[in-house]
Amino acid sequence: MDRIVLSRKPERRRRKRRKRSKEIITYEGPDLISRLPDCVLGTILSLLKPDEGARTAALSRRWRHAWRSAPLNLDDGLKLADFSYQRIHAISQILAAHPGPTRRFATKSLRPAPNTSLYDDWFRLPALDALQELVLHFPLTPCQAELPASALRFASLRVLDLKHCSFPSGCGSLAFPCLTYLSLHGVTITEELFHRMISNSPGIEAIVLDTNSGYLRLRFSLPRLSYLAVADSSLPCRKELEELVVEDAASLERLLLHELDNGMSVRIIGATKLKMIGYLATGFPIFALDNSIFKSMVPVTLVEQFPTVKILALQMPKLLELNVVIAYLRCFPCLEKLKIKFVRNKWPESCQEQMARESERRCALRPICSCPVS
Amino acid sequence: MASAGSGDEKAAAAAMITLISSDNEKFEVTEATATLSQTIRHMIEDGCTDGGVPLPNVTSKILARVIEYCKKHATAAAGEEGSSSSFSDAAFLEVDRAFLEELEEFDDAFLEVDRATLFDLILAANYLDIKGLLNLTCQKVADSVKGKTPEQIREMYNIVNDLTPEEEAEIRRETQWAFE
Repeated sequence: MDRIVLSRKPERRRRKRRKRSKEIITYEGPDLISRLPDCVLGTILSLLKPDEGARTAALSRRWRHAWRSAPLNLDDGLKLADFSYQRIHAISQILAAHPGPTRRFATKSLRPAPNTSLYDDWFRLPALDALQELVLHFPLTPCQAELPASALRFASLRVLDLKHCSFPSGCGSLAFPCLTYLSLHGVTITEELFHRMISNSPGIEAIVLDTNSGYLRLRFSLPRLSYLAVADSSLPCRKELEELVVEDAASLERLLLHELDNGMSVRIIGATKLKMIGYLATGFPIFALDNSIFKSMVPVTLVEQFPTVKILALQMPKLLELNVVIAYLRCFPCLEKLKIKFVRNKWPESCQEQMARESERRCALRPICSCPVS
Repeated sequence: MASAGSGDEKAAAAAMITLISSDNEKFEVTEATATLSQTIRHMIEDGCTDGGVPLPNVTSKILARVIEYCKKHATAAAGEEGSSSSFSDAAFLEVDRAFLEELEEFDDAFLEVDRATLFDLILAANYLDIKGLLNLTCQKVADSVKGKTPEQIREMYNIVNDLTPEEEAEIRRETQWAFE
């Protein structure tokens, strides 16, 4: 999971440092870097881009074979760019120059067509056998690229991050016993395949699903899942996800839902460690935590309290305001941060009135007790 | 990388581990802090931490810094995971970010050390098998050589070039693609 942290944090730091690193400071002390053990030198080299890593072979004898013996981290480090032709050439050269094993294969610069068979050749290379991280982001094209089945052959994967492609219909077992991080964005995958992949990958700790298609109802049980983020920004007329159920959410700490007008029903069961929920919005027809149920974000059944939740973010039209908020405070009595985002009214008046009436009625039925909010 | 939950934390709070540096200084830390080190985690699992854990490769100065890192990251372990989702809507992650910013600031400040300390921290992180600390410190070194020519890197780290001109020419030929 360390890569995930690396992808945002160091970028910021890198930017800061690049300024400083323009001037080369001559240094007279002992050569500390060459004295590092091979494995540490390998760690440093695999944090560099492949060409930068390969160039260190010319430093000294100590460094001559260091890059080739360290696991390869093939990350093109690019945002989507139309350099496909040169990039393909560069990646082919790197794969030819490094004997493996390859730890990470990440590209955001390649176009899917017409090179699918070339990608297939790459993924079949023995040097990729023990691949741990696969990041394939394709540009958004009218005709979605189908992944070659060989891209999903790696049982050693810890990170799988795909964007704008579709799962092949005939992919085999689809089991990733070591997988901890799964991110799918604009990906087509059938409900059946998704469920099979999840149930064959029981160690998943983080899932990010953003506007995928091919499934309507997701139901899974992942006892180690601590982070779940779900968004669906497809148009209301072609809603892709209707229902999301997480059973046995024993490790779930952070639940992120996209602020939606037209969301799915969400049901989370057994989340005894939940620390953060955001954004709850009127667009979720039903949001249920165990037996407590919110309909279009109005609390309708408050059975239990969730004292573990410290951060809550709400998005609401102004009309709902206080009553609803107070009801939330009752449900989450130990909140430390409450973030409320008011949005312009996207709802017809009648609908808002009904929601407001509903919330009033519920609050009247259950008089609000003092809220121990610090 | 399962994190200790609130229930576990209570149990772990009682269990203290004594770490002993190479210069014989003793440090009392909670089990949750100590187990960020896989090396110590295995010792605890094997039940051989009674009477303290001697760490003959780590000085008290470095061990104090390592413990400082582990304390901070032990409480935030779960927050570190899965933070870079590729959502198109960045505003959506606002809430999430609050969780992590504090940690980033801590890491930035933590890395403001002289070169000898940085390399000692790398060696300690490697010996104690603390993945986050090893990556953080190695990233700092990797950043420092980014975009540099071999000559510049040699100058920066005082690396003696012991390759013959023929060898160097051969290496450059072999890795020509990387120099283009």
